[in-house]
Amino acid sequence: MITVDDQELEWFEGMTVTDLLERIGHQGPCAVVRVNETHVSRPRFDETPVPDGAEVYLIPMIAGG
Amino acid sequence: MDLDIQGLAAGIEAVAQLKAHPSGTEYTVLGEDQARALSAKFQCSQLRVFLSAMEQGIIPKRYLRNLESLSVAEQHELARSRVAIIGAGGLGGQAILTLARLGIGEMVVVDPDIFEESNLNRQALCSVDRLGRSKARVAAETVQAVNPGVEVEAHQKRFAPDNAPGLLAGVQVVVDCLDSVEDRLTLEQAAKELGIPMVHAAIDGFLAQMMSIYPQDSGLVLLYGREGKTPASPLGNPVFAPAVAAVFQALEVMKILLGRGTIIRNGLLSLELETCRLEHFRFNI
Repeated sequence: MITVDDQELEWFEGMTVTDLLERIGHQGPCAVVRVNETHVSRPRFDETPVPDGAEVYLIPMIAGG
Repeated sequence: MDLDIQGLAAGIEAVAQLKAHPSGTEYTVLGEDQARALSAKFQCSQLRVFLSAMEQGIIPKRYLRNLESLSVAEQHELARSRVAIIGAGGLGGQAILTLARLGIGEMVVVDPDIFEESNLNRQALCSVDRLGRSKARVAAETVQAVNPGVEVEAHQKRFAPDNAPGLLAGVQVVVDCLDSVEDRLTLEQAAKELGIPMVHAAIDGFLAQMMSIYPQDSGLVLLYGREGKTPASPLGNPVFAPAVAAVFQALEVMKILLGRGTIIRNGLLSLELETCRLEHFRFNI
């Protein structure tokens, strides 16, 4: 089990940040995902594993000025 | 007519006065009226008067309350600097005003747009009597009214690869106050090619973010990926986020120009204003 923005989510072996975002069907794109104390930038989503028990926070992509 | 440099310096020294700072230190200051009069007498800009004063260790009175946080030498360095602000809307308007009060000597402001009623809720340079007017030209007029010791070059045009070298000539820092990913990538590319650090910010709702990008840094790809598409902006833009993000941008400009403080590179300053969350993300590049 992991938490994503304080909501519990079932974990599976080999889960990456991209897998996680697909699973929760996040409404908008993310710029940054924080996995425990690691800050993952967008180009690294595919390759970054999410360990069991992780606390994950999503930082939305924004571009307004 | 050539500027009488020695005459100007002597004229400044003749009218400068001692003034106590709240810290107790006394500084020699040059008042705004005296600076304006010297500018007229020697037929030079007020910026030139300020520069000449600070070369002698005399601080324009308008900058007195910057001292102790900044030195006279640092204030002089800011007055010798040229900064470009691309976009004069929500972020840009506040960034321009803040940099003008700080005392940046020269600014280049680029924005193709005119003010519209929908800008009134958040854009610091927008007022009812300015609707329909060029944002860039209004920026120049407003800066002149706030600080005549700043010279503004206003361009009512869209920033593009073909005009970038001219617009960014002599610029030491460029401030990204645009509102689309596509335009931001164009600016980042130009800044990198010209070897200029860029200070990026973006907003949506109560969210704000800021990062500095030096020419050798990965930059915006860390935030927007290789797709480079502008996300939807479903949360609107109340006044808070652009004001806060732009002040952080202006602060970052100061730190870059003076080589002090913590500069947000290869990371992101992320703010959620409603819940008072401020985080400095450091990316493992």
